[in-house]
Amino acid sequence: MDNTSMQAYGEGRLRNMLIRDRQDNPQKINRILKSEILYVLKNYFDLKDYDLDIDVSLGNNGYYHLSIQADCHNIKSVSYIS
Amino acid sequence: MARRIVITSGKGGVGKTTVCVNLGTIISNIGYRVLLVDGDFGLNNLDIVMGMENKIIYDIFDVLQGRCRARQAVITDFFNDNLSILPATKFVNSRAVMASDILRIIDELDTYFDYILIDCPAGIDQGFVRVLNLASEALVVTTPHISAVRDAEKVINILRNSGYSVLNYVLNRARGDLILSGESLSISSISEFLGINLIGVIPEDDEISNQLMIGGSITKGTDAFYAFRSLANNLAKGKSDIFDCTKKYKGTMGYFRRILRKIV
Repeated sequence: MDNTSMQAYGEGRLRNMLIRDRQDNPQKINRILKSEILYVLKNYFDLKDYDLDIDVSLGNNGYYHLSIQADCHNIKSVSYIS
Repeated sequence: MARRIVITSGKGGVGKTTVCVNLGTIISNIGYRVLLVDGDFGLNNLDIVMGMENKIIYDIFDVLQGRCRARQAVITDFFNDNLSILPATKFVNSRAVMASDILRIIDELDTYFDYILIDCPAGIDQGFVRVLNLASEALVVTTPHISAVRDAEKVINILRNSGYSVLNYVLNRARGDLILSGESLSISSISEFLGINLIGVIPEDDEISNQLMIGGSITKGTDAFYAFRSLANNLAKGKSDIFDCTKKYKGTMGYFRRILRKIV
């Protein structure tokens, strides 16, 4: 391997590592976020863990996209909440 | 109020303490009062690099235990009244030291100094987290090695999430000959990966190894000295003069220097 390609190879390796690190982050955040949001939403809705879908993904522009979706069959009555 | 700067890296052995000592020395020579704080409890070595290991009477833990006042634990350099260190202890379980306790000590000493440089422990665990709340400005030290840059990037993310408003990085142990021949990561690519401002480049220099053996500051007139002087001026005076570690390897003479360095 010549020197120029060695530098390019090293930089490519580093770039891939950093991208993998960032992609790994949303999965960890997903788990923590889901449990916390579920805790809050359960005060208002009859929700099960599998009813809630949270997705944090890394877009090509470097921004994270966050989407929260939930299906529930019942909303708690206002009197019960208060 | 003193300007507090955390010197950190993520990866160990990249030269945090060396940068802390030499940067502090040169800033103090400019005329500012500088305190170097050893934030590495249990594995302290700031005092050793400074050559002050035999002068320690009290350390941070003694202050925390009430055996002395914070000012009594501060040791002033024999040759430089503007430069002092606050040593960490090597005998205590670092978990016994709380972040709020160190902050209280730093706050107490704040009025006596213009700059407080905090030498961070390696890693991103408890020791690192403990010193995070001491400042809002950080100097991230890295070397041009893939593992060091990757760890630096992680640390930068943590610092950003912790509310750090000023983030700069220092490229330490840069080999101008390898950068020119393409055998090392280029400075521009490291800056791109880290996404923060480059404030200094310190070349790989035997003088720094000598300094670590003897203790104290580096000899004037060496490449390392000029590089640290540029770094200190950039930090303290807001200049943007980055030491060019490739300069002496450019041109015909530089070409022979590169060959000679490979042979030797």
